Amino acid sequence: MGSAPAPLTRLWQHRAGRVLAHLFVLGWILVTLGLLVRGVLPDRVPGHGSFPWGMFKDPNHKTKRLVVTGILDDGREVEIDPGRYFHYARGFTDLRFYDHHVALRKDRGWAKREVRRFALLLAEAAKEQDGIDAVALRLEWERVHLLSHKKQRKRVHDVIVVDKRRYRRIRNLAERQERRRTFEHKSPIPLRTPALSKPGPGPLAPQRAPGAR
Amino acid sequence: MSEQVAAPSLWARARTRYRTFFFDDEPVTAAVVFRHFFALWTLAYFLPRLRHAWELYCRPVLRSTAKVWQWLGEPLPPLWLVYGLFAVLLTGLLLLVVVRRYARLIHVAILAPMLVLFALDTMMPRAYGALALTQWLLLLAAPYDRLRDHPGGPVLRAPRFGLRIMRLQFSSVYFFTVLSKLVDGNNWLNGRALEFAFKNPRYGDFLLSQIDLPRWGYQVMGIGTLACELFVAFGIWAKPTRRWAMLVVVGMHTMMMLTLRVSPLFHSLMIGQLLLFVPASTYARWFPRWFSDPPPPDPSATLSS
Repeated sequence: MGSAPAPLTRLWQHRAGRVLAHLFVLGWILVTLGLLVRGVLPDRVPGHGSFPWGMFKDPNHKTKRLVVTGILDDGREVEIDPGRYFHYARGFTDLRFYDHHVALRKDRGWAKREVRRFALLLAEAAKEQDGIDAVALRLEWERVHLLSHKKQRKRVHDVIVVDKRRYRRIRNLAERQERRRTFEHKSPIPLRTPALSKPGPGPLAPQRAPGAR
Repeated sequence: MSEQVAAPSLWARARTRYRTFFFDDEPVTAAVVFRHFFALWTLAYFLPRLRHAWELYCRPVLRSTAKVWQWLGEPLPPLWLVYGLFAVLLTGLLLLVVVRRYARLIHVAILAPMLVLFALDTMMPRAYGALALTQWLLLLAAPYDRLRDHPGGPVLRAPRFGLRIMRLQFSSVYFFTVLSKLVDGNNWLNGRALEFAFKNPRYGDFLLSQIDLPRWGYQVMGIGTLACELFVAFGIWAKPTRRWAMLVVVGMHTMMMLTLRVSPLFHSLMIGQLLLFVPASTYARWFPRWFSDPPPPDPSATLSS
């Protein structure tokens, strides 16, 4: 050839180098054949797996978006866009890390813990950056069918994001208000009516029989 | 009487073919060019991630769900460590582009921070991130160190097993992706897969995919994509079809770039790997100043002197 030996040629001149090179080649061939066999195996056979590089194998017929609703202490609901606080998006998409994370799709113990931690971070960011002081967050997946455009919402978790004492106080207040509303609604006798505040016999005063002294 | 020569056995022929295919010498041009391209590509991959380092590497929530990671106690790296790893990696990559010597040393030095950053990444691209990491590991066996031993000298030659494996890795991606679409997926032959991808506002609905096609149009495109990928997987190995296979890769990824919201890094990586398949003679013809061998010494001049 006439050219000086390149580093790999020098390596090739030693037996150990040649053995290493053969091992490298055979290793790659074995791994690739293993991946092929794994994919070809029937589903029920142990060791079965999907083929590698299958990222475009089955595009979903639905598109989904994580909808986060913040519940304020007065009961109002505010939609929170998590994309405002986490900025890294894949390629030219608006997909963030939470769009693919398995914890938001499972309903197991560890997944609930993960989602709770995520919600706490999100609530903190919403409070710091947008002044949204939510006491609880509701996380839902909004799925839209690509052909029929039918919308569907599925709840992931409701997460209380304030400390327990504050949440209990707010919950008790809310429950009292709710009970009062329900009572007012159901009771034939209004709980607080203008008649009660006026002096004189109100609707709760003992009724006298007509003609009695 | 003529001596009868016994035909070599099948095993001997297979061994010869194996040795020729993997271990024959080849000019190192493709490996050297690819090393420069790959270092630049990896810089382009990591630089935008630097801005989001906390979110991608140090975020305390929704991290990796791999069992190994949980077994390790889900380590959360401090931000300064991530910045340190970035500093080493980016410096090494820059050096790989500009220096002529110690390339292998730099390569080994950047592998550690690269592996750690890939492992810590909570949003690593499933496809091209893994492929890039695989190719960086395989590149260790490629003869990319230097083009010549001295300026004006001939282009070096070296055993080509590293280059061959990298090329095989490239074509195996197309081979496996066809298999996965046909075996694991079920909407490619009827065209639904492309229709769903194009109409998805988050992945598709982009430039050319905003045009609405009839169902048969998606079906033709779906089957065409599978045929193109299969052609690339095998056609890139035969000399007569190599040029066509390269054109198909470029065309296919350009179309994907115009229809899907996938990162341009993915397309540039796939198109860039074609540099591994360009013959040394073509490099010498296109860029004679850098890649051509010096002319052979004139025998008459030697005689006269």
